[in-house]
Amino acid sequence: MVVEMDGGVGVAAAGGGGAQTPAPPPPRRWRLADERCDLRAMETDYVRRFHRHEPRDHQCSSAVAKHIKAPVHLVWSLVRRFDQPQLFKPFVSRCEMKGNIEIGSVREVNVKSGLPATRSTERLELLDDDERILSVRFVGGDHRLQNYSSILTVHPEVIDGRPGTLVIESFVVDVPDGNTKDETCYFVEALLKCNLRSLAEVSEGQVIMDQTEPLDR
Amino acid sequence: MVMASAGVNVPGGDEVRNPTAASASTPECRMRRRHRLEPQGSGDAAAAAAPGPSWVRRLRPAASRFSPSPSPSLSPSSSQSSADRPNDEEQEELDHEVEVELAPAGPQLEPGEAEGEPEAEAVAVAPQVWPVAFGSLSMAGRMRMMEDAVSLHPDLCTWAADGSPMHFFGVFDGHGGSHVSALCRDRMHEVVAEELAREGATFLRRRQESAASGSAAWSERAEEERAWRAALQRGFRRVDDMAALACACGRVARPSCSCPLAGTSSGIVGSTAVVALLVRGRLVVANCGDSRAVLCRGPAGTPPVPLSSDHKPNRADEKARIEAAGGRVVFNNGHRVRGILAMSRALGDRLLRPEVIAEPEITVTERTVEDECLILASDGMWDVISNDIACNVARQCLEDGNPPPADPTAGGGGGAPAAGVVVVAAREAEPRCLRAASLLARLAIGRETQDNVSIVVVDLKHRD
Repeated sequence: MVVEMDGGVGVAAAGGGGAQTPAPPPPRRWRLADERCDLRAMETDYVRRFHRHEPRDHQCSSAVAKHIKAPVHLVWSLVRRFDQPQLFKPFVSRCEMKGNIEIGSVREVNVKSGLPATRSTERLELLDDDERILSVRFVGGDHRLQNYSSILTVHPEVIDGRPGTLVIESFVVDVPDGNTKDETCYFVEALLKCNLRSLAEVSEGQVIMDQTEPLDR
Repeated sequence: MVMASAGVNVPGGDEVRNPTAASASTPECRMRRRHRLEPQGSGDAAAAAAPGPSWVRRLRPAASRFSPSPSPSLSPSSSQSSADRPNDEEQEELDHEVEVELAPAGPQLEPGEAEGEPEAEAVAVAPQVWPVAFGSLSMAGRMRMMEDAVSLHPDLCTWAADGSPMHFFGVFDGHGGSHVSALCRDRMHEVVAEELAREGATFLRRRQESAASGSAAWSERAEEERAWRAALQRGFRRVDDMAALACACGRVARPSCSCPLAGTSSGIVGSTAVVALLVRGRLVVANCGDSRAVLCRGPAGTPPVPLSSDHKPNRADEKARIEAAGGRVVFNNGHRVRGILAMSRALGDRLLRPEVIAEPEITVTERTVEDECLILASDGMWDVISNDIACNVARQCLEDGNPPPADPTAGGGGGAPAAGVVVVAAREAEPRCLRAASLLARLAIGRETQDNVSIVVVDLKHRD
């Protein structure tokens, strides 16, 4: 089950120490995109350091993670393309963004047919190529995800002795009228899992293509 | 008299065929079929590319050339199995042969309906001849993209047991892109025909084994239905497997396509599929998703008969299946699987497995002489037109040859007037099936459907 970060109980504040939190909160349980188990210690540490959200009463928050058998620079080169999310996001049919990719850029996303929205207006809140952090906020559109904000981080790791990547994406969003917090988290997690699974397929596909090129090239 | 002459001709046919190699005739049949299919393909393309009429024509089972050849070999074995049914089947076969003799030039039957003799003959032998005529129309409506597809394949193949023609009609409503529905349009009929041939061979073998063992448990009807169901189920599964390999550019290949679109747009793309097989006096419908097939029975006022049930996530049994598969149904501008997809079954949609499956629900319905027509349509029409209204509109078009009032109220509540833009200008010369389909489409647009609209109307009666 998903443990919601709600009611103002967030991850431990930086430098806060015991003074602000008399009793340490129970450990957070996150649901992996393709595994039903607790995040490992390293992942929990990444969440604590990079994925801080402070949901209010009417909001919910959660995170998903995905292990990808592709080097981190390749995965990051895909996710940082704020102007072309259709490269790996299965829900996007078209995207328009003017100018360069920089903090404050706004993109207009057209969503594929058959889905519960047709368009979304999204702002780039943070793009850190050194730490590999991407933060996006939804600022408009006909979806029901009001005040949606997400943080995506990319971390190098080793999988089966080869360079791999751990991707973590967390979010906070208003709970729409008529839905419960649990339903809303479930729905957004489902979207993010599809995104990360597609990202894995595209990245790993490129690795395969790279490996089949002649060695003397 | 008729029986006797037909009997005499059967051996004659054999003698004529003996000098010709069986393998030689097969290519001719295939070429003939391929040639016949080409115009329909272009018709479908025209319908998909721009709103407009598609291929329309009237068919009679007698036009089939495949029925005479199985007769001689089947007669002895069928007479051995049981007393009553072989006679009925033999009569059907003889009727086919009589029709062929009366009009030996096959091509003359296809272009029009002017032949007096065939109709007179057909009237005389009704209800043993089951007429089929059809028309369809597709339009994008208010959507930017056209993702619907229609597949019309009368005389797709013949049923191995008795050579009866099998007619195939399908409506496919794509979402997230058009290449899965296009794949269904291009491949579903071919795959189903292959599976029907396979099941037909199995059926014949089992029938022989049953006759040889003297088993009394053999039920021709039940075994036929089992075979048709199996063929459709396998057909859907094979097309769904192809969808997993389909590239957004439309190519189905392994390894993956190498075009720039490869790897993208392959996740949330899928299609509904509602398929009707018409064989002798039975309607076989396989449905996956929320398109729909409805049988319009006469006379006026008779309730329509749904031949399919929409696969919506909040249908109690579908919701239970989804939850058993570990998924959830969340309301998000409608009930949706994971809050994402508004139907519980579809071909394609790999990222939503295992909740969203591609297994069709199949119904087999006995035709009656009172049946007016069969309507296959996507939810772009059914969302704004009830079964009752659709049947009344179609019935009036087919019976009168003239369109009924813009908003018929008989059998249904009064709705919004069809005040939308006139997309199709009906021509007097157009067949009534097409007129029924185009009027229904216009009505759907007028009632502000937000989706693509695709409609197939199959006339099940002889009309002068």
